[in-house]
Amino acid sequence: MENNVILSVSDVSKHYKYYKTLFDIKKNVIKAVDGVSFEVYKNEVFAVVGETGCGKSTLSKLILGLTEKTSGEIYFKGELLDYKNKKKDFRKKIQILFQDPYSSLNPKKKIYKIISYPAVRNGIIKNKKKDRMEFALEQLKIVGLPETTALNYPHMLSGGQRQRVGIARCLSVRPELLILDEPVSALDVSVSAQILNLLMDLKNETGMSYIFITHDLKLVRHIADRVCVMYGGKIMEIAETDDFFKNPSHPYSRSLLESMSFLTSTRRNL
Amino acid sequence: MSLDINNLTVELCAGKDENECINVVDTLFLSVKEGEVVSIVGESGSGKSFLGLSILKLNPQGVSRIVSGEIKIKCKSQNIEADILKLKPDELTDVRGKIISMIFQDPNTSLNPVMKIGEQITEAILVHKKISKKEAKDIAVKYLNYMNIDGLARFNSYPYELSGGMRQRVMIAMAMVLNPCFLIADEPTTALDVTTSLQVLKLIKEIKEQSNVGIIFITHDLTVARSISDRTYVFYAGQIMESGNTENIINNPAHPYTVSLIKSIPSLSPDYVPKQKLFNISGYLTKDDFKKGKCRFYSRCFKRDDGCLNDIALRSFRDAENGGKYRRDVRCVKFNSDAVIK
Repeated sequence: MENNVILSVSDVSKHYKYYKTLFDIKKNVIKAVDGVSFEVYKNEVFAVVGETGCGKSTLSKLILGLTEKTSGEIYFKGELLDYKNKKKDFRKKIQILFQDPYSSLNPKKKIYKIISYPAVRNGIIKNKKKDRMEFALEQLKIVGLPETTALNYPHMLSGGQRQRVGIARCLSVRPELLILDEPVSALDVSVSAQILNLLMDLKNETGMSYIFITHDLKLVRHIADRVCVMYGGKIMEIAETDDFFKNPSHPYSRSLLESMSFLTSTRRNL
Repeated sequence: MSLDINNLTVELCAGKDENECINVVDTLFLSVKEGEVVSIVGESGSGKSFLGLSILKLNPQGVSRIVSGEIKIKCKSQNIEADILKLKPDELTDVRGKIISMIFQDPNTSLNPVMKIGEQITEAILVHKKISKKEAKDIAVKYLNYMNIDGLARFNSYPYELSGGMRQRVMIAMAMVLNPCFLIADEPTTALDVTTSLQVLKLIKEIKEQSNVGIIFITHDLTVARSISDRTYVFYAGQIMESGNTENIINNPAHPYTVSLIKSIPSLSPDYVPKQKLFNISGYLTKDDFKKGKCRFYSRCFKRDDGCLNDIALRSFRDAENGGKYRRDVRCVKFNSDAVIK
């Protein structure tokens, strides 16, 4: 498995410091992510679960380099992940799909511009309308949207279609690792099934790895290979999905599972 | 004590053209009894929130109007028996909050951010009851305690000082503080995460048992509906597609839409095989689906044929389970059973 490691996070922390009142002499510290280590393998779905405020989103920001880490190191394919290193171009290799497709697309731009922008920015295609259009049409085909969408604005699309545009935008730079930040929690059940199927197909075709951030254990069971449970900025448990659902070892995992099984089993349990 | 909606039709007109009007709620029959939880399940855009607003006549005026129907309420503890649609505006104010109250979806936006939560709750009391501020405060504190919030300590808190789950509990306290007969809960757990939504659901269940309030629970999540409701109405494009006992509907769905909905949810049951392709309903709910002259689910149905190109009527059957105790209404020509109720 050694060579298959695509992302290795070792002992990473993010502490936010702030003054509680105006006259505080010492800063208070919030440990949003505290000494987290894990590895993500190639072509794997690695699920991160936990409730609101447990540091899931901070963790994804750290991996994307959107916020400075306090300590620890992250390696991508054995190389130190440093977004300032222009030669390595890590930006191309790690992408994120956001939770809310209603606020993550620029309302002033047409869909083909939204999709092709990362490719232009990273020098994959030239900044010409013809090139961008061709590129966008290709991408739209991959995510199963009609070609006419290219000239639409985001407000003309439904939630599911917007999320597909989001996926097309992520894929435009051919990433090797995709962070999915609650990709279907803003969508309806029927539409979320479509998106999940699409994500699974894409993974099998391209051999990408996913970090799947969610609080819905049903999805984890369906899609993930391994599960990581976070609570209060720390990792409580990392386990294979099957083992996790059969025999969760940490008390917090058990209480999470209980609250889920309450929702899925009959009402008598309440 | 009961709330009966008979033949309710609500029209929504987007443009100036009369032909552009659609029936967002179409010939709807719904009833809630004392101490019963009834859930309305449907996807976004199906008109379920609109229905919730229409019951209180809070539907946006100008663009929508109630075409026909009646909403009969009977509430012994408040001594009222009336048809909401025939009430005058000031009588309606009495009904809202006092007899039927509502919990909204997003607790982050439905509380006033510049008012202390205690003030917001006492405001609701003082509008309806002629009592002193101090008495109102006592009631508010009592209800906050009842919702597992330290009433005295939190009375002077602002909404931003509370977590999402706490805010939703404040909303519930506010809705329950006048001891209403009915409660409309419009997706109260959607904005919350698993563990807190569980707490809120348990709380709603407790309230139901203790104060015998009748609850209309609007949700898009069948699993949530299953955990809390006695009966379920499956709502699509303004029409009831199927209704009946919740457990029976989930174990033995009759309408193709319900079947597809259940199939498209991954499950936690031990015999579920992960990583297979999920069943999905092709296409999207569009404005055209609201038009007359065909089954509203026609464009997305896997059982459709030319027989569906008519207006489909709701037919009633008896469920085979539980010794035929429960009634099942289905709006599908493809479904047949011997136990027809005429």
